[in-house]
Amino acid sequence: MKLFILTLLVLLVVQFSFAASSKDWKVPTEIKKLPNGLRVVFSEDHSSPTFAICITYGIGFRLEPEGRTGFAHLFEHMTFQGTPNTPKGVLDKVVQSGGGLHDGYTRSDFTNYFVNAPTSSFDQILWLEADIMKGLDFTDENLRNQKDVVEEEVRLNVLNQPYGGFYWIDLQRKAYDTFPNSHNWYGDFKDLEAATLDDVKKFFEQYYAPNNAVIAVAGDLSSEEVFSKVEKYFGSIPARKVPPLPNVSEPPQTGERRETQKDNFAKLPAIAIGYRMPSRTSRDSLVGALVSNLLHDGESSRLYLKLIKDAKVATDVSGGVNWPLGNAFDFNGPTLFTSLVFYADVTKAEELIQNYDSVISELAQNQVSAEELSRARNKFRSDWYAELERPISRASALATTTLFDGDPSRVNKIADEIKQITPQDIQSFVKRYLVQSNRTIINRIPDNKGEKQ
Amino acid sequence: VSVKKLATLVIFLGLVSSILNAAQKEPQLPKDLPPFGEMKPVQAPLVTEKKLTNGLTLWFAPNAAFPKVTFVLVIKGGIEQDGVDHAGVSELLAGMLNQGTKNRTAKRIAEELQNAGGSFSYWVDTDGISFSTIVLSEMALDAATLLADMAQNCTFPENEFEIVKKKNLDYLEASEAEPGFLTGRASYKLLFGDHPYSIYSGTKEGVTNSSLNDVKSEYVRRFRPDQALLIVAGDFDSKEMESHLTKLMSSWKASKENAIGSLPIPESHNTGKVFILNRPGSVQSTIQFSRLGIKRGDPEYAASEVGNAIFGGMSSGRLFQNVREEKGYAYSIWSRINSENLSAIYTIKANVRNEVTGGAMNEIFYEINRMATTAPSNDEVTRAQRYLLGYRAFLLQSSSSVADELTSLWLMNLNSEQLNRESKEILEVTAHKVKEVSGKSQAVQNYVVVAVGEEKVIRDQLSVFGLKMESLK
Repeated sequence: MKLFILTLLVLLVVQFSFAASSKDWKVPTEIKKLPNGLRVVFSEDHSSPTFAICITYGIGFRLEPEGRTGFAHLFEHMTFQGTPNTPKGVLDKVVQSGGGLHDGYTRSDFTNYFVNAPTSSFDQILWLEADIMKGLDFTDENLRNQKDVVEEEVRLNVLNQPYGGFYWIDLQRKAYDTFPNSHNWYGDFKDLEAATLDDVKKFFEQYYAPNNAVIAVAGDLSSEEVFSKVEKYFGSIPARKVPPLPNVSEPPQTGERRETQKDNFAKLPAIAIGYRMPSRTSRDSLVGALVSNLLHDGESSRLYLKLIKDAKVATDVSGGVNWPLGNAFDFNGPTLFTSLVFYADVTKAEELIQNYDSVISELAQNQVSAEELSRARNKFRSDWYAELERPISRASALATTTLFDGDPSRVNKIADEIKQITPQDIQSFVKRYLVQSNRTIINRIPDNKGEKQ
Repeated sequence: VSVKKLATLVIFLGLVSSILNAAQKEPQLPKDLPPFGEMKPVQAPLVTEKKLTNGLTLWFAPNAAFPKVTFVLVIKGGIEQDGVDHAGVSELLAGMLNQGTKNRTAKRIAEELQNAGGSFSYWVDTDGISFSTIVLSEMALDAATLLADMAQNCTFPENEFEIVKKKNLDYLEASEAEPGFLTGRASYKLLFGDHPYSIYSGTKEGVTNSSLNDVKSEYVRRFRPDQALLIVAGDFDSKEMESHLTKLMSSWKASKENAIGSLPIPESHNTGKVFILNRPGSVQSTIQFSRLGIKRGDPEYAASEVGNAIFGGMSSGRLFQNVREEKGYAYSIWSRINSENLSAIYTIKANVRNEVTGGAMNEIFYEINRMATTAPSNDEVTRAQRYLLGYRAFLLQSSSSVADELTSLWLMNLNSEQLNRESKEILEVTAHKVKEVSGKSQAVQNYVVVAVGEEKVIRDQLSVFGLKMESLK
């Protein structure tokens, strides 16, 4: 109890604001730091008798060790394999017996474990997640089993599919020079196979500490209940020394990089273009997010109108910042501004790139109109709100903004930040970053060899 | 050792190991684990219905918790209405709706939607087509105006049609590289035979055959207010929206053309057989089991849903625990019920590496038989019930997924009251009832099995189960 009163003195921010117009819409955010360093965030919402929780650790693919590609994700799988108190299989059973949905995912700079459930199972979920943070049940049998499962996952999503995720796995390999940013985050099988129980233990000890985690809760609970119960279940887990974040910056790119690949399965070619983005914390990073919206989003976007409707050289276009495994806010290191274009005629790759370039140079030469900018801002704001609608995605946004910005209320500031972006900002972003010497292009073309076998 | 003998051994081992595991697999709950609290009831959203004089149905599901509004326009007559020769004309029709009206060009439509914070999307389903946009709440009336214009004043410009057609052909070409698409398409064709439900998606031939005139005549046939529903869900003023939509939509007249006719009840074909589609270079077999199932609205649906959760619908269910968590054969293995208007299709899908294709099949067969012949434990039933209610609560958290749920209910001639009815019925299901319903439906002989993969590697593995096998082209 003494411990609890002490911790209430630590940072406590409350924001509440509901208004009729969507322009002023905000979600409530409260944050508290426990003495063991665990940051707890809560967003109250009584629109459904449910809650969502994210237990988000500040470790992702980027920092997995050399020779252990894919390990952060393999480790994520291991956390579902039981603890000394909770045998394998119990977690799934208890969560689902409480009406819960749960899963986890690994990204460049964090790993997120989430549950969405009726509020009646709040205590049980906290108990189970605290039990995981206290320690895992490491066995060779479980490790073998999950290596098999992860390898099936890689086959399912990469090796047995057309395109094989080339627009992120290969694009970042080509675009970056250092191991943290360029390695295959899904993992080479050789590295996955090499992983040992000692690796698992070490990774847990290094990174799965309360002081390297954020717990975000959104839903039909009170802040008093959330903070006191998180304290009750997690407060006794001791803080540990977490390795400082290494420098993961890249040597500057000096010229355009290109690669052509053959695809065993694909029937249509595709081109991925990745520009290196400025630092996430710079104002330009946000400008990049809006530029991506102008270029990629919907049938009024610049690339859609040019490549599909006007020049008719493409079939589909998509893209984004830190795409497709994240958004412009949930990463902490080098990332790309990516466009992915599917097209039909392999002989038209150069024509496609020329048309793409003409869209970029138009944006560099002439400022966007006030109308176009306003439309793009509205769409951006609308999409961002959608990230905050369901408890599960709201909790996730709160967790990552807390992890990377130290401030969950950032989620309420993004719409305003976007409003400040001017046509000049967009023009200078395009001129500075969307240039040939800063980009990597991979052209992936069908290889019909497979059909002849 | 001959392949046959080896296989018998595999089946035998499979049975034994699974039974042992089932017996071992009731781990004690941790002693400190706190108990569940009281589960609050999840109420379906209140939906008010309004019918316009021209027959158009409006469903309003207001909810001020989130400042956006979802619009869904649903028309009856989906891909089942295309006919094999024109399979895909639905997708062309859907893709043309935002390509120009008497009042707006395609670009203008896209810009207005973007300005409202939305985008245009459509979904071509078996029994209907839905068009949706999700916009910022202060733009809701503008979005309604735009949607009304698209529904009634679409002009089908020739130049845009060429682009839409090309996009659809390219999309189909690209899809044919995906094992999941190939498996799904083959399964529907085999299971439904000549019934229109056999059309899984458009085909390149069907799209090529479809002219702009075909699209226009499908528009006349299917776009009728008396077979359409407009759902508005989210943060809006019902009174204001109702008067706005009444003004906009009342002039929409049904043509004299034939409305969508009714179809016969589908029967299953090709069951109890294994079909292999060769996909050279595959490193995994993409397996789909398909059979007819019990659809929503049927008195036995709740028991079927609970049975499915226990079998393969949740990660603590049997397929996932056995095939993935015990054997490590798959990352993804699930079963599900997909209800349509006239029947449901029950599927089991798994992706397994080449060398364990036979082993995974063996475990699936084993689990099918176990569902059919023994009642689940009360523990499993309770867990499935609570899981299904929790999943419903999740679905109802957002206005856009409420609108999606209402769309499927309407296409099955059901309404939002069904949601509360189902929640009640789920809680009434007993282990005995699950066994009764599974006993009638869960038999290997009821399924069409399709495997897409490297035929030369997996054929022998699949030949040992005593089922007829055929190669597909």
